Amino acid sequence: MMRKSRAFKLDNAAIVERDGTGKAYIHQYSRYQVWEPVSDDTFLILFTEAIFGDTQEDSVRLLVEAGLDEYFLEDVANALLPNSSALLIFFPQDSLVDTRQLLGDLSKFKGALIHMTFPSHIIASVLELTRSE
Amino acid sequence: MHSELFVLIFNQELRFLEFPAGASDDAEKQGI
Repeated sequence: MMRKSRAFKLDNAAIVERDGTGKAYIHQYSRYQVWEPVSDDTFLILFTEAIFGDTQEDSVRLLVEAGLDEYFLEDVANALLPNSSALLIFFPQDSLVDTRQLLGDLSKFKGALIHMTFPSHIIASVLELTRSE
Repeated sequence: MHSELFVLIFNQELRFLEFPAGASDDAEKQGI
């Protein structure tokens, strides 16, 4: 039996900053590299850019078509007000990170914490729709 | 089996964020 860890890679995380004018800046460790068609961070990048990026409508439609709730996605997008920032951390289903401990750690920050779970077929649908775009 | 996503939204710029006491014992030991 493998022991779950609290450590995770930078690939798992993205940071979004929204300035006073409302423009969002997305920072992700591996987003400037050439990705494999399906890598661990592909979904994180797609999700972050769909929710907070400049091309929101088309990208959000893709997530909705894959089965994610449109109103929930809108709530997440609207939660990032001007002059605020967000940290996103994604763990694929085969991750060995102990997310229960991480949830406890993150809840100690002064911020609004949103925790989402995605069945594997949703992830597969998003990636499949991306490939067919 | 499912994947998980955490979104933590701060009502401030990231550079002003303070690391909360006790957020991670390991991190504190390493002086992070």
